[in-house]
Amino acid sequence: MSRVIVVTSGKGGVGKTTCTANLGSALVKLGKKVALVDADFGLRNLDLLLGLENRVVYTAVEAIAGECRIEQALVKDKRQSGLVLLPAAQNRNKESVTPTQMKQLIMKLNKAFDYILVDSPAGIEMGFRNAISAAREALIVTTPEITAVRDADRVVGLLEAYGIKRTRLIVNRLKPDMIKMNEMMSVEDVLEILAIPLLGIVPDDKQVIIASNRGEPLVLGDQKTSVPATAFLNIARRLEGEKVPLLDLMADQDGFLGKIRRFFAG
Amino acid sequence: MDETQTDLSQNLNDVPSPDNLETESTTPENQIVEDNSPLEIQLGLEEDQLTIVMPTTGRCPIEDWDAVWLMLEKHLEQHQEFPVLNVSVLAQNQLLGGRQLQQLAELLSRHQLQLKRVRTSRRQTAIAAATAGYGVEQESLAKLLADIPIKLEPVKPVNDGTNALYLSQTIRSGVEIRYKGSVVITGDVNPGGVIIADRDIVIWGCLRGVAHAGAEGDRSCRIMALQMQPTQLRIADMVARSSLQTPDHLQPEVAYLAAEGIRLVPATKFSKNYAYAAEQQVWEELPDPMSL
Repeated sequence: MSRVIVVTSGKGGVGKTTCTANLGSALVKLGKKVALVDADFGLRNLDLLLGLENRVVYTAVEAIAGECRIEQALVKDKRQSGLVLLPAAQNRNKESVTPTQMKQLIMKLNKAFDYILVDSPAGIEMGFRNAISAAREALIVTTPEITAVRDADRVVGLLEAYGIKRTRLIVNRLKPDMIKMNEMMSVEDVLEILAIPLLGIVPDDKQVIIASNRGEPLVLGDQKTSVPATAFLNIARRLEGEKVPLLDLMADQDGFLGKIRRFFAG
Repeated sequence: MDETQTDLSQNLNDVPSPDNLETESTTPENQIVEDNSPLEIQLGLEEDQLTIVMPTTGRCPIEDWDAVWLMLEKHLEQHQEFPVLNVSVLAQNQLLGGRQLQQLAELLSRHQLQLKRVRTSRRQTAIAAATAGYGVEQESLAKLLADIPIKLEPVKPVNDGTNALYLSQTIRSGVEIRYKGSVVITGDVNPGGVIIADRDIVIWGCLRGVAHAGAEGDRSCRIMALQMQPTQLRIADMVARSSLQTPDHLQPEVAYLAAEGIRLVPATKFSKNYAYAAEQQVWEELPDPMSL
């Protein structure tokens, strides 16, 4: 039995797809077999982030229609053995698949992988229902903005209503300097509202954008220099049940004097 | 169940009517007869009479008759008048004593109804009914079950707002709770969540969404929360929105309706120092003799 986890947020543009791609790669690094399922029919992106666009032949829609076997639709990543992608169709819309079909499709992958990560589209309509149909756990991605947190709250409620009780939170795109200036919601503020367990925090970093444009997940690069890459690896380890402390993102911010000040302030 | 069986066999011995014998022969084991009795007391209105249908003891053994009569009384109070006078009770195999039957008869007479007939499969109930002077028919359970009127109306406790809705969960964005009585929530009400109650709202947590107490117009209703940071508060026909700056120090507060509109006061102060003025339909602060 694989762990079927849906990555969702409600609001668009908070980094669901980036999180899915990087978490998938991080889990593979830990020696797991992972399938990434793009449930964003009509607006597929996951293949781009993984740099697999040119290898897509069949998509989930063809697999559902029986035009190909599901193994044919899976795109293997040459750089990371153990990672496969089930791409979404670009020429269809979200209503072309039903939650039941999606569930049956994902259940066919159930035995061969340790993790199945489903990248959900934004919104709470049919695409969202498709994405969560087979999931038993959910990762909520949010940024520290009131709009994203509000939508995430709605989604947590919907997931509960659909019987997915195990939801955990990833706070993405945190800007420590802005939090320090009291210009951004802190992680505590977000947790105060959502009241679900925190799985990890990913800082805002231009490397994320660079890696996306290259089609190469951050985690594959040099981790020593990349804070977000370490953050994603830590999240993967926490998913595996390890106890990994949070990165001290504020530490870089205040320099030597600030550290002394914080030390005395307790 | 054993008792029922003995009752039935006794019954057959006592009154060997062809009807009962037939029932017996077609269904050799009376217990296997499908129990189509309701799960609670129901009323069936027929042409000439009102039938009170009881569940079998297999469905629901009734012990607290006082509670049942209270429920029936409340139901009758809310109900329109029945176009009949006579009441028949299908008591199945329930054990009813003389006292219970008397209570029932009194209750019915208060609503211009008359207890005429008790039909039971149980010997003790039949004796009690006969002693009290009501018409009695002791019959097999199968026959009683077969005679249950088709159209039934359940007697359920009427929700008059005295029962509160108790929810142990966080009310998240997009969730709206509407209830005819008071609402108690152990958890937060997040922004985008809405609670609408006809009476009070109590939140053992932080209120960040919208709360509307006394939605049917009761101006004495209050909203209570451990932490008041609402998007909006509404009591009866009044609305208040939150001030933009949040105080550093949050304490349990009560929102009530004063002459000037919706006001907040620390919970510890409210119960001692405020009283509802029914004429003006607002809460008034009482002079505190300690500080005079």
